[in-house]
Amino acid sequence: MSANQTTDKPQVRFGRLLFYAAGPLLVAYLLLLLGTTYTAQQDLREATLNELKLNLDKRASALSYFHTERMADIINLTGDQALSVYFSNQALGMSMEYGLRASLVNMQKRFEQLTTQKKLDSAPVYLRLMFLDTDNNRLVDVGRKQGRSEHWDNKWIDGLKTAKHTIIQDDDHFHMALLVPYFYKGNRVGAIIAEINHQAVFNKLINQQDENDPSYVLLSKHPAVLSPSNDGDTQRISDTQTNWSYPRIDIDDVTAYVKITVPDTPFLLAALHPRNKKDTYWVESPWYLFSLALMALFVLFTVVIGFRTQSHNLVLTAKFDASKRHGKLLHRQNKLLEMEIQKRHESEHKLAHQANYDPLTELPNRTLAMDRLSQALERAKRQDQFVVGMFIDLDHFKKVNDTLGHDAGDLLLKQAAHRLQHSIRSSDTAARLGGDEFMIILPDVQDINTAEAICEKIMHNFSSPFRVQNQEFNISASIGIALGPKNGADAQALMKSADLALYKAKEAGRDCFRFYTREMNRHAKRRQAVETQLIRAVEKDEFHLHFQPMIDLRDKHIVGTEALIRWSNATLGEVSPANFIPLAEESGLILDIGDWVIQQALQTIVGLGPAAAHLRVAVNVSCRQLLKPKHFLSVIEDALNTNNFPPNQLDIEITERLLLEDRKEILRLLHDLTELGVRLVVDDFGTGFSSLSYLKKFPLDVLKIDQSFIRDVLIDKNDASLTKAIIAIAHELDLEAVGEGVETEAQAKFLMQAKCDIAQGYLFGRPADASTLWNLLTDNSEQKKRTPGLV
Amino acid sequence: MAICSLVRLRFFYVLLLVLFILPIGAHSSDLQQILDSGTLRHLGIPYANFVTGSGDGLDVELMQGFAGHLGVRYQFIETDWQHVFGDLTGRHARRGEDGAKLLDETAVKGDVIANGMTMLAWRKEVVDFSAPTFPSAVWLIALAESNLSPIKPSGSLKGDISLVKNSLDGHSVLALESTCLDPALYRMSETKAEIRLPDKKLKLNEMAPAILNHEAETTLLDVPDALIALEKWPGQLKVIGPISQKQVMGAGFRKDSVELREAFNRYLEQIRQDGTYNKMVKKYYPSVFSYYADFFTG
Repeated sequence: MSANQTTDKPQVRFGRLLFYAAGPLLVAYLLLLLGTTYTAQQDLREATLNELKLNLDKRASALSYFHTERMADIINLTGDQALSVYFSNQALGMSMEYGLRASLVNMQKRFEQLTTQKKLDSAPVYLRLMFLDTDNNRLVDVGRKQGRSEHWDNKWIDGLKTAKHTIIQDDDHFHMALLVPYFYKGNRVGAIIAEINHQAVFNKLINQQDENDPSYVLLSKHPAVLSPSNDGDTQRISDTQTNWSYPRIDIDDVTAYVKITVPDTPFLLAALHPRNKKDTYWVESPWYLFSLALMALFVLFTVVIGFRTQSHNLVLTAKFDASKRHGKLLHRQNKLLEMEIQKRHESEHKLAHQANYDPLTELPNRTLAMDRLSQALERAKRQDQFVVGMFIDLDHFKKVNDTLGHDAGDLLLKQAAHRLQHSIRSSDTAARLGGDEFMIILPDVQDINTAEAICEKIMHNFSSPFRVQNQEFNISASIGIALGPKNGADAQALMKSADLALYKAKEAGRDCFRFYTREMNRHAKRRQAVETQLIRAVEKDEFHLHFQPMIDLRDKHIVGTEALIRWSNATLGEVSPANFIPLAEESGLILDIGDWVIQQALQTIVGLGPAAAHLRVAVNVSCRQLLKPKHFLSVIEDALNTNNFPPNQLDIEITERLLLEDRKEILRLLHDLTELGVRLVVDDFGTGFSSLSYLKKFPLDVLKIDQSFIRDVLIDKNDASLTKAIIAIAHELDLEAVGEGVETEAQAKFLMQAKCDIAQGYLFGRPADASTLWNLLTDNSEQKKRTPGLV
Repeated sequence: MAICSLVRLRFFYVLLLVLFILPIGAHSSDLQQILDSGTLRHLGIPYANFVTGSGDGLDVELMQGFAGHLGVRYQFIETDWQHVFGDLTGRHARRGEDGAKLLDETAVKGDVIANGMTMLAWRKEVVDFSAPTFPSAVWLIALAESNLSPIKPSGSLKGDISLVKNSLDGHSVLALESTCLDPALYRMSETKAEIRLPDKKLKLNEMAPAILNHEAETTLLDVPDALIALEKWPGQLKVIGPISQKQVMGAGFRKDSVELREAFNRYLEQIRQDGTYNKMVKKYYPSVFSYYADFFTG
């Protein structure tokens, strides 16, 4: 504190010194300013007066010229022959009835011509033109206004000897007029009285051009002052308001500075300055100077006060500066703190984003999607609306991953996400649940058509191929749709329903959408039950085999049998292979079941003894079994060895689809099996993507013609032709042909004629247990010549 | 229905033709002949401002307008007071002791006379006049230096005429036979004035110059001409007073030109109604309105 005071003292001293030096200078400056202003005021006043005089001179000249011209007009009129003819005829004694009136009409005509011809702009110069004779008769009176009081009489022309300008009073109005006496043969017989359009004259010749010009009044000695009024007449201003001899007059709130005689007329023209309108009035007035002086004093006073205040405030200013510095420091630290808080907010936001969004597609992840679905469901329940949950799976996506790797798969997923987002409304949510599974939530849906429309849009957007790493992929989408809360009260339940619908969509061949139905749920439950029982069935040994005979059409011998699996469950009863085999394939149980079938079939046939020793046994195998080639080969070898079964009597039935997979490991397995001596049979030939090329490529032995051909072989020429063709192809490739589903003798005969090798069907025996097969074998050996049916 | 209406319409037109066109045909030299010839022949004597002799005049404009109204060409044929009736009717005529006296036959030259012709009784025997076109009267005009003084109006026209006639004792009066200034028409012989008929053939508008030339002290002059004379020679002439009662002027037609006369009357009525006629009159006689306001406003 004391340190600040010691540093402030020289500043105070310097300031005071400055003030003592500047004070007198300021006073001198102000005095100079006042003096200059006073001089300028005088100059301005003089210049204004000069300008006024010039303006007045100009206008007075114009006015004088105008009046001279008017006087000339009227004097010319007195020289007109019409006037002299009239007075001549009158002097001759002619009466109005006989001749004189004609002269008067001519006179009237001349007067009218003058009033019509003389204009100032478009306004008439003469408001009234009259000839008044000495008997006070108005011989001519042009321009008389109706209803106007008539006080015009010969008192105005009494003693009039020469033309003159005058003012005529008519009640309260004043008219500017010309009086011109008329003489006939030396005698004054009357006079012409012409009333001038005073207002028009003023407007044209005198009035100000703009509001900054002064206004003017025309003065006459009698009456004292004339100025134009709004109604065009002149007004009288009392004599007391003027001082005729003094150059300045005051009239009401105006001041006339200058007046001038209008040459050749009895008028004076004065310029007036409205005091309250004049721009320079204030600048010219002494009050202006006085105000300036006051202002100068005020400035001096303010400087003194300011200096004193300044010296008191120096210490305070120093403190204020220190405080300001601290403030700045604090501000910097606050800024850093704010930045840190901002960073943390961003970090939190990023974490929250990562927790709720899929990093690959930037779509909401499962957590966020389920949360939104829950909220939408709650809202839908309140508002009695629907929420649509869609489960979307990309068809054949795995192919991209397998072909080009995961990076390409990721790129495709990004594109798919993009297309999905462009298929939905702004209020909807598209989310990625994982892998190639997506979810779409349509909240606040009132109509099921909305969901259908969006599905159609998705499928349309997926119809164009995806381009990944310069390759094009046709990836479609399968969609399962569930409506909440009807198909699921909470998010989990709803998505489960949608998942079931998706399953149905896939089952329907993919690239389509399915709405969830209750039937789906029942199917799912049943499927679950079957799956549960299926797991136990293997352990409980609930499976058994049926055998269907295969007949050599040439000698009608039973040459083989197809082993067919059957499942009897205490709860489910007899379950069709069509129902549990796919489940077993999906769940992987097919591997165990397949192993059992091979082992059991060989074991059973061997168990039938010598009657069945020649029989070939056909066993159906699943793709999944073959996809584990080593295991499968070992199972076959094990079964053959265990049962001492000749390999060449074991037929492994595979489907066309498996061959189409075109996998190296499968090809190798099939070659291994052939080397082992096992025969390979293509089951249901002709129903799939039949390709002749694989018949050459794979080491096949038998073609089994699908029963659908055989069924209509007698009624459909195409089926007949195809069947014959397949048999011919088989023979050409040195393969054995087997006809399946033979039910009538006619069908058997057709196949025989077509030189089909083997037949199988109800005609020869339904699938039955091993004992039934044994009976058939024994019957067949005894009655081998009975043809064709054996049962 | 439309055909039926058309037939009715045609019948109506035929009926109109029968009713109106056929009677017109009865006046063989009438309006139809003029329409066929395509020319209206105007017979006129240069007189006052009715026919100025310079190609214009009140009656010249009037007849030009009438020709335009009829849709025919206008043709002016100048004539004089001796031949004017013969040129119209094909037989010369003049005033006789008791009315008109028919003289020699001559060729017809025109269809209508119009030059401010006063409708006098004997003239009405020779031609048919249209509706009045102009008011008139005859005044006595004297030289300014004449010692005859203008009368002081008595308030009665008859009284004024008497005052004039009574003041004529010993004064010479110029007159013109066979015109509206014929002294016999006004019984001038009953006054003690010296009636002078000009030796040479004078026109009406030469009467005022004649007394200025001191051929007589006074002259009879009809009002329109008197007004013009007062304007032409201001201060040299004076009007003493009236000689005649009020007169009117009109256009003269042949007796058999009924259709033409009626057509003219209709035209005259039309232009009086729409103000055209008054404009024509004002152009040639501006002061006449102050004397005969009733005639032109009525």
